[in-house]
Amino acid sequence: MRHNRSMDGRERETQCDSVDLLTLIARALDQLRAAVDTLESHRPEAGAAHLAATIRQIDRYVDGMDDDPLLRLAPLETTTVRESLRSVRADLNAVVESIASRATRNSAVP
Amino acid sequence: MPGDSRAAPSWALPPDAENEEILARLASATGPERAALEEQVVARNVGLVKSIALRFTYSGEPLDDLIQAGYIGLLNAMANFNLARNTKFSTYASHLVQGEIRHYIRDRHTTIRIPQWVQSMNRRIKEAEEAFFQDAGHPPTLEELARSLDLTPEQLAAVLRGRDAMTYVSIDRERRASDPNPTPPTLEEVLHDRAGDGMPHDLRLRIAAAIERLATLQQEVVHGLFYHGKSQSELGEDLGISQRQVSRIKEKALDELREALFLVSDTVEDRRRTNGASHEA
Repeated sequence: MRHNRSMDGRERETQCDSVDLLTLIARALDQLRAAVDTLESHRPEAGAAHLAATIRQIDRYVDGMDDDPLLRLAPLETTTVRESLRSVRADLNAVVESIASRATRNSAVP
Repeated sequence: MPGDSRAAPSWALPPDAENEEILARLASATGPERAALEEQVVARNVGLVKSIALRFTYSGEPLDDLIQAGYIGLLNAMANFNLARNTKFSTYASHLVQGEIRHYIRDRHTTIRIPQWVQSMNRRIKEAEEAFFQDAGHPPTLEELARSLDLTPEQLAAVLRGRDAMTYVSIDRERRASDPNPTPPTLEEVLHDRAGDGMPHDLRLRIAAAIERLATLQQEVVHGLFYHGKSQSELGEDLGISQRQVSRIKEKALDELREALFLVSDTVEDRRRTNGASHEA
């Protein structure tokens, strides 16, 4: 959870929803770890759900990343971080699509 | 003369004997003599390199480039061949030439960046494989390779599953489709065919690449926070939080980084143990 102190308490609450980069990464790594475990346990749908959750987290972060103070403090180029996250997203999306297409193929087999 | 086997002239020696004779002299040669002997070995094995390179033209890479890559394998074979061991030079050199050409094609065709830890693991496995090949004269089995790497066969299988399987598999599939004389399956192929953990190798690599990229990004953040030259109090002021909270954030970042590194480098079993321990903590 972010610890931004804002002039407005409500605004701070909203800020907490849009996580900082480190929290995003920590959550994403947790999700990916869970995804690997479920995929290894022959549960592709559950694995895909973890990956899809990570993609949504990345999308939310990228939408609000201009407000992440950590980027200014680190300091990291916003464009570089955005590109890096997009690559991660693309990899994860490819996995989700692959799982979906395999599931479709399997369900098509009588 | 036909039937006259009393004193075979040097030109009649089989290629391996010729190679090995030169290699024996090479072992103690220095300077210009060494360079000349090395050239001789290369010249005598041009045909071998070309014939192997021809098998890989399906890759779409120019034959000359494949041959150049093959020469690197030949030079490595020349540098590492041990005459005291029971292996023919041509057998050993073929193995290394083929490996180098495969490696070249993989590099050229890689669509997904192979993570650093996989590359490092590849090198370690390749070295162990080559050392075994030299000693035994044949490629190692899973058990033999595991023993030489000080791993259990299960651990090695887990490691191999995470290797650069995606590019390997895709290249090999192309080769099988277009090559009228495909070579027998390799150790990796056999292992991958056996692998039954429910996760296709291409997906595993995609996820590994994503994890590695996130871990790198995390490292950059941590590096920026720790080495940007600001004290924790200054960072706290900038963020509008206490110095203690900055310290906690940094600790958390380091913990996450540590876990991420474990995640990408450990075997499945080790990872599960690590996760269990961190949950308990």
